[in-house]
Amino acid sequence: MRFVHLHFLFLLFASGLPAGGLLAQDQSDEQPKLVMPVEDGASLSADEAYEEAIKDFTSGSYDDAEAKFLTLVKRGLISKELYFNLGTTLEKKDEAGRAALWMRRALLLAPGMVEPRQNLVYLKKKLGYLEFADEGAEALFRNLPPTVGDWIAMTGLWLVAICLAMAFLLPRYQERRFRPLLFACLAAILAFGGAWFSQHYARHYAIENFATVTAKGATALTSPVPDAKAVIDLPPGSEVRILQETGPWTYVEIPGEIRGWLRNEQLAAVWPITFR
Amino acid sequence: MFPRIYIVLLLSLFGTLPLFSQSASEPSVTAHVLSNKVAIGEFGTFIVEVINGDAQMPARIDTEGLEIISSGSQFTQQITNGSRTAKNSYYFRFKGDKPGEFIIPPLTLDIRGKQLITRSIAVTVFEREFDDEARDATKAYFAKLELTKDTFYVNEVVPFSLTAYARGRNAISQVVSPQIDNESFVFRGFREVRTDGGTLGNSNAYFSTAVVPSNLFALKEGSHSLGPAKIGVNILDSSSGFGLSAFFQRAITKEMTTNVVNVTVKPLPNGEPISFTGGVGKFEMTTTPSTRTVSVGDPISMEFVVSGVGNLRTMSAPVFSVPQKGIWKSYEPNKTLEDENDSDGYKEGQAKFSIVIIPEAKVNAIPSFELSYFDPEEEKYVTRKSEPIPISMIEGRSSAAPTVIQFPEGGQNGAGSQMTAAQSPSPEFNGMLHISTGAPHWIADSKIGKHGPFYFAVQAIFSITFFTVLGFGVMRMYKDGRFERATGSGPDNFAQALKKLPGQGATKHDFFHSVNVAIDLWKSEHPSPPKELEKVISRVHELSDAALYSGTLSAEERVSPAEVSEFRNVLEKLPRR
Repeated sequence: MRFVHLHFLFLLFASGLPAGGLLAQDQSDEQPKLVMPVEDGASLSADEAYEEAIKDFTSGSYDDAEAKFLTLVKRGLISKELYFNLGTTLEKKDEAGRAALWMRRALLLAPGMVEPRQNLVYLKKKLGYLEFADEGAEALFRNLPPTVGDWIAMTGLWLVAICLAMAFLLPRYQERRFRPLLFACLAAILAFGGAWFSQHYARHYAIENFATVTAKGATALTSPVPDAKAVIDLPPGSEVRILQETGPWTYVEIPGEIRGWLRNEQLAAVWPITFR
Repeated sequence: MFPRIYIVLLLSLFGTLPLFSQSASEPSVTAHVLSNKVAIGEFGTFIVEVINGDAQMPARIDTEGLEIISSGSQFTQQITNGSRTAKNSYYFRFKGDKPGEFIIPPLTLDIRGKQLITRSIAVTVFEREFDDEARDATKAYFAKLELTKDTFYVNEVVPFSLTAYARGRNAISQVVSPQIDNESFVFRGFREVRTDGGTLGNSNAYFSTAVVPSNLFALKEGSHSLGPAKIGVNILDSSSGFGLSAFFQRAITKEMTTNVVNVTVKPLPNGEPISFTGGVGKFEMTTTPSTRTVSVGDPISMEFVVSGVGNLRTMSAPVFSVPQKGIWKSYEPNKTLEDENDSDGYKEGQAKFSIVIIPEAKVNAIPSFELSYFDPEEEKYVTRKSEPIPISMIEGRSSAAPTVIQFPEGGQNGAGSQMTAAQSPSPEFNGMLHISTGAPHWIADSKIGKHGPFYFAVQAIFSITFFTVLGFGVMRMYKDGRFERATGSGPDNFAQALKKLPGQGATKHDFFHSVNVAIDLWKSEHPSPPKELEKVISRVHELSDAALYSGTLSAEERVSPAEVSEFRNVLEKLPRR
């Protein structure tokens, strides 16, 4: 009698976990209250500041527009329109490398957004920068959602647990445990593969590994010393993959299976956004 | 009296005695040739005759300029005035491949213990003239190499033929493996055979002929010797057939070598035009563009058909009459020359060239192309020139930035056929798009690399499934009574089992189940009880089982106080350790 409702406790516990997660997720999506200090001491909301920046851009005050857009970014505001407009403003200021960087960031938020993609085509035509191939297995992996490995691993693990429980706890399977155990083995392989891919993705294809060359006249060097021999000239906007950061130098992989050293100030990570 | 037959035998015996004495006379040796003048490639006969003796002959006699090979031997004997002479004749075939005087060396032969030496014989190998047919008619079969001319230019196509002759009508059944080699010439393969026949010269002998025509051209100037060529024919053997040659004749293969032909190859004269590409002969040219309406950067495939008698194999494609750098871009031409369309020196041949050209600027016509060749009859260079072809330019693309179409720079055959597809409009991408002036969509978290709500929802589904299975499984174990044992909360010994024995008000199922558990534990603690005690225990177990498994027990039926008292009393009286 004491254990009659035990399974309901389990059900309650099980449903409580994801419900808590969902609740936390909903809370995090809550619209933040955004204010921006201005020079005269008054406060502007994010929308108002954004409007001001657009006015500056329209009037040709690109420096002011950039400063206002950047202020919004530094306050932690995230918007595909903000990134796109900042990239366009930087191109007007003849900072094409940084423009390409912000276009890529806009595409990160909205992969289906046409405008930054079109502007990147123009920038590539203008600058002739290097870019990782957008075809083949590498491109396929890069375009996969970052959490796909976690999905596969977790699904596999749950299936393993469920199959084992069925095999050893349900009387229906006590005389024929082979099937659930076989399925559990397959699910374990799936889980292992997913975990491996998750690790591999994090090391190679995660957006945190990629950077854009922002400086003009950047040249990848054979070693992290200023007078080292050149490997290849990298036009601004070129994509590189960060392999190792050592002091003021970053060891990068360059499209075309080339590697070289760049000064840290010559490139900027696509994500997360950092300011030096 | 002797019978007459004995008299005849005696006379014969005496008559042969002188013969035996003669055959033992001194041996001698002689050597000669049937003819000491032999044409190149033909065979002569060298004979060594040994009188009154036998000799071991070599299979081959080595000498400079001649190939001498044993071909057989013959034994004859002759009786003259009662004197018998034995003669062994040894035959050799010899032939030479170049003209000149050569010596068949003396042979030293050991005949019946004596060393005899033959004389040396001078042989002349000569080159047969074309019209030397009367002498050839003395042979059963021979072959000839004939060229239509013996003086010609480098790269000029010259027809020639190999002809096999065999005595008799329809004597040649098949021609096999005609062959001629010379590194200074390029020979076209032998593809056809013409058979014929007739008498040669003044002789009445009828010869069947097989003519294998071909053509050649020279790579190097100077004097050259062509041949001897080789030709094999299957000849019908008239000696076979047992008198029924029409039915039983057999074919034998004869390998023949031809004469040598000396030729003079003249170099092409200096002063060739820029558009001369190696053709020698007499040719015409037609030109066809793939389209007459283009825009800057669009490809045009130019097709040239060159036809005529001469060497098409050494000819390259026509070229612009005037260099078109910066106006027209041209790619490596593609040449098509089928074997059956090649000129053999008599009939016309045809070669096709295609060149992809691209206008790099606005033009109104395709400029003229030129093709120059050397005419060996006129002994001068001739230039064929196409007329400019008007074209219409359309504004498909900006002439400042012409479309870049990836052609193989090094040139590839068939490049023209890849470039005929129509171009679809493509954007220019000459500037950045204007900024977005609409209201921004702020988000608090980019969620890049983070799990969304769907992920957690799926986790919830999985966890619900898992815990449901787990819950049902645990409940089942509990119902089956396994839970307590599995979790370790059941009685560990008889004393505990007795203490946990349900009392009045419990269900019969629980009570008798506990009784059975207590008895099982007592049995495990007392593996060898007294017999009387064992009977009592068995009896109690039977009663408990009967209550549990009789089928009459309902789930809610309660145990009576009397039953509790009875079973508890029995169990409490059992000895304990």
